[in-house]
Amino acid sequence: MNPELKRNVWLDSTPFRQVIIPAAVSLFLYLAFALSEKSLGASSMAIISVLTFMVIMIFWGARSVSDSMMDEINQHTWDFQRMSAMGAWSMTWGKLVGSSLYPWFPASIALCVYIVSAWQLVPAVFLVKTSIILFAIAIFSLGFSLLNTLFILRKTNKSSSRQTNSINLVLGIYLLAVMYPLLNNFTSRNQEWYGEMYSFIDFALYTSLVFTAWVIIAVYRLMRQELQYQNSPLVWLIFIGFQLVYWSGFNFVYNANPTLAILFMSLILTWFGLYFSDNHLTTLRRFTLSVSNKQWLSAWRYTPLWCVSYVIFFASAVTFITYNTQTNAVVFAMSCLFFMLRDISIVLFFNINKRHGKTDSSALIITLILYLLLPPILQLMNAESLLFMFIPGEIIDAPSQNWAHILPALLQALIMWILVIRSYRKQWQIAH
Amino acid sequence: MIKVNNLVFEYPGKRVLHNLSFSISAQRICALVGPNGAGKTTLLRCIAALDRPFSGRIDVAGIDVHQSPRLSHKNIGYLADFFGLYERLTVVQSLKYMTNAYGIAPSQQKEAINWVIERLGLTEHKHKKAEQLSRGLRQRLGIAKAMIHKPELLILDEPASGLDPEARHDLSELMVELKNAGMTLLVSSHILAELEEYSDEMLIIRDGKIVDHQQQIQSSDKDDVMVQITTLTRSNDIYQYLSRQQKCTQIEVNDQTIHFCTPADDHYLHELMVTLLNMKFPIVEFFKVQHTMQHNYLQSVKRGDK
Repeated sequence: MNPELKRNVWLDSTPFRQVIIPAAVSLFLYLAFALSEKSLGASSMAIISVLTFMVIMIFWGARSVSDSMMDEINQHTWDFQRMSAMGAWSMTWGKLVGSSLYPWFPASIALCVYIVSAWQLVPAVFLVKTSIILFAIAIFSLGFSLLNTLFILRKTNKSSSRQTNSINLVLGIYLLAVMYPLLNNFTSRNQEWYGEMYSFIDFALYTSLVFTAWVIIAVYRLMRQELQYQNSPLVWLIFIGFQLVYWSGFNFVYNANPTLAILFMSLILTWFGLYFSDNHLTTLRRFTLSVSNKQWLSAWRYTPLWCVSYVIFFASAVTFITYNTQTNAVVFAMSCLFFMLRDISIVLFFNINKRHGKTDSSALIITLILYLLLPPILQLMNAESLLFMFIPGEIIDAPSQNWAHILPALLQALIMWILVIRSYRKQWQIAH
Repeated sequence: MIKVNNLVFEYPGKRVLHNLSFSISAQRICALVGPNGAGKTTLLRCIAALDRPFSGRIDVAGIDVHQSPRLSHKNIGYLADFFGLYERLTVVQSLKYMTNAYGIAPSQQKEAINWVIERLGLTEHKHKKAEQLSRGLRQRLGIAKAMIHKPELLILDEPASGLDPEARHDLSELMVELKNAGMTLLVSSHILAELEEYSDEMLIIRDGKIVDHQQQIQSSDKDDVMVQITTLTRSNDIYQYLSRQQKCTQIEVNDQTIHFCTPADDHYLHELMVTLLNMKFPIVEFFKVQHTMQHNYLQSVKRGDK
């Protein structure tokens, strides 16, 4: 048995813990059953049990996983685990299943009640598929919670229950809000993807499984780093490819301007990569040193994720320009590229200059001010003509290019990169 | 057993370890000493493959620890200065967990647990939960967890901190026992007198640099002895007299105190004391200094300062 799983079995195997919560959930579901018989209607039992399952796993299960990981760090037992011979995969699934072992008891009861109560209402195949989707949502929540905890640990070198639980709560509410209505609507809907119609339940099934797999892969990768293995950005590259292919299939992208949609998606992924990447000064130095020493394999391993994303973003911009000759596409695409360069440099600047406190959040605040606060202020001041200074200009159907609109983005990127390079050199000198 | 080559470790904007190179042979106990903030813990964590250095290479038992961290962990046991235990697990459960985590075959797990429980004197407490253990017993359980897989190298960071004198003495005996059983130990501590009881060699680091690597503590201890003389008033005459004696080395005068090294020969010491008293030097005290390691450490640090 997986050591982590076994440890949690020992911890949760007290008679009180084994009885009290499953009993409470069973009583709650019985109450729901009794009420549904009398007033709520036949399908309400299924609805309540699905909701119970989701609430237990999305909130309680996810919380258990992150709490367990944070306890390891706060109680200084994490080093013992890192010193063990457990591999990253064994550690990943051991923690995912082991830490959430206790919530799985009542959640399984809720799932069984759902299957029993929905048996007469929907076909068996549908029931199996819905159960798999529910299972995938549960694993996704647990995985995301562990990912979130490991990510914050890697970024800040400490655990933060407030930060982790807040993010988990937001995701939980989102999942519940999005998935629950969908689960009720499976039979009557279809989903169009790349022009083909698929039954909605099948589409939801594959989507939930694939996204769950990606979350687990991400946890595994972070776990590898915790165990001192080096990750190359290859998996990130595949993830970007998957995202571009997946989202491009929806009709709002497929039927609109696909090159613009891809440009927009690669922009978001570059942003995501920027904040997900390890931007520690030491890692950046390892990367630059490997490049200057022409140690390409080592350089590839230390390549920041945003670097890879930016290359894809650049390629998307070139594609966009190529296919949109009747618009001022060049100015728009180049502005996007320069603004992104500026955003990258803001994050790097704060990471290199640790004295500015919380690095990524400070950079995020600055960037949000630049994108979300300054443009409306300009609009209020009736200075819409200056908007191009802070956001890429509109794409208009005019082949003429207003080259001057690129300048603000270019200048901002230049200034920020000069600051980054100066800070980098300064920190290098301090280190020596 | 341990080979460290050009090890550099950096935190953002600060170099913590500067090009360290040293090696430690198998079946030795090496004391790692240095002031707070010298980089001892960072060095130990790098050797244990818990932190990745900026550059350099560390081999433990012939394995590059950063190339193959999991493989190297089979040969390394590490106890951090601040370590935690699973409070609600019993001693046996904690150890059983570690045998699983280290991938010890189920048929050998019981034997490994019994071996470590016996060695660490935990037999009477094996069914107690970790939260019920005293500080000393917790420390023993920590060491037991670190060595249950019988590593070739055991790294202990400040293992004696917070222990009472009896527990410290037990710990010292355990170190020697483990060494005799074939392990190599790398121990960091502030308590030099205690390290002296069991260390074979001493690695001194300061500001992330190796100040000294004394490879023979115990043997020099047997051959030489440090003597301290305290005088009523400062006496340069004693210094001059001792300087002329071939057998007196490393003479140091500090106000009314004189330290020097001589062969550990009681007859010679007796003759020397009688001679000094006959010469009417204002001697108040004449005695052997027990903690030569501390003296060596301070000497090395002073040399480093110069």
